[in-house]
Amino acid sequence: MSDERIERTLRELPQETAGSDFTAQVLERLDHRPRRAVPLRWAMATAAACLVFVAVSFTWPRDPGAGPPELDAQARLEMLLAEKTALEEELRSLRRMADGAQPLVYLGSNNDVDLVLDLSRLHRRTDLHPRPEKLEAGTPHRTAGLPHRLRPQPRPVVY
Amino acid sequence: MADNDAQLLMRSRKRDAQAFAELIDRYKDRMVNYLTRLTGCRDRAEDIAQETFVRFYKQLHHYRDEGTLSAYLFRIATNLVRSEERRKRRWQLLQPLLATSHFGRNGHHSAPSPQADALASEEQIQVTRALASLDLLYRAPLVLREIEGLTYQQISEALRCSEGTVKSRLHRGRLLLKQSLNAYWNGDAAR
Repeated sequence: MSDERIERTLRELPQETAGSDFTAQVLERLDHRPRRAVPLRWAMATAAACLVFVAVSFTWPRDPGAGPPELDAQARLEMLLAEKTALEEELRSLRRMADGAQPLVYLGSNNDVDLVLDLSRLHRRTDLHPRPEKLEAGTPHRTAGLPHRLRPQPRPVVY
Repeated sequence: MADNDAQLLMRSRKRDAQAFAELIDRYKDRMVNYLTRLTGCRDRAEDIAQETFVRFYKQLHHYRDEGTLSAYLFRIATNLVRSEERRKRRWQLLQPLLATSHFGRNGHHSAPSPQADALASEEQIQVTRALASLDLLYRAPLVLREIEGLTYQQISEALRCSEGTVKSRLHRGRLLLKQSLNAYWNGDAAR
């Protein structure tokens, strides 16, 4: 069997023709094509324009010469200055209080006595602060006067 | 002829229904014939041919007057058949799952109409059936070449592939068609 036979058979197939109302049916299909009330292109363009407007309105730099923003800034500045003045005044009064205060420290009390320490009468003694001393064998320990339970316990020495 | 097509196209773009109707009249028979051979079903062919012209009308403003108008129309028609066959294949895959017999019972590859049957010889019926059973990849170039008589260049334009691809698909299509018709031609079908 050859290619010619196939080709010949295919060419000999009867020619189909369109129906008599073919063209009318196509035109009818075109007439009844569903159309959008608003063309898609216009709808998309409108949506894009709205988006751009919203984006620009949020990101547009505000004009410093405009009315309301200037008022806000001025009011804020005045408020900050007033707060600064009040804080300075408070600080000054605290200093005055500290300077004129009596150096008394309340230590405690029992039913009969309140124990108050007047720091102005307390003489500054440098020897009140213990200096580290090198302990030597045979040297009397500074804690000698302490009760036994408060004395530091000797550590065992390992040679 | 080409000038006339161009003039009709120009008028059609301006929504001249008469001009578009003339264009349809010019190409409708070729489209219906091509699609009948491609689908194996006359009614379906006519429906797809109508849809082809509707699609073409929608794309009128995008159509450039390059090549031949018939090749462009054949391309739309082939794409429509391809889409429909894909849809049909999907339904066939889903059919066992859906278990409803009415889906996919379109009879797309049914035999030609009784009128055509009466006119056609037994051999023509067999060839039509064999052709309809071929993959669209081979069926389309075979019909365009052997039945519509398009050149390789026009076929490549219509199917958007190279001329070399067209030739190889034609060769393969003929082989498959021969294999399909072997039984009939060797007299096995008569038994």
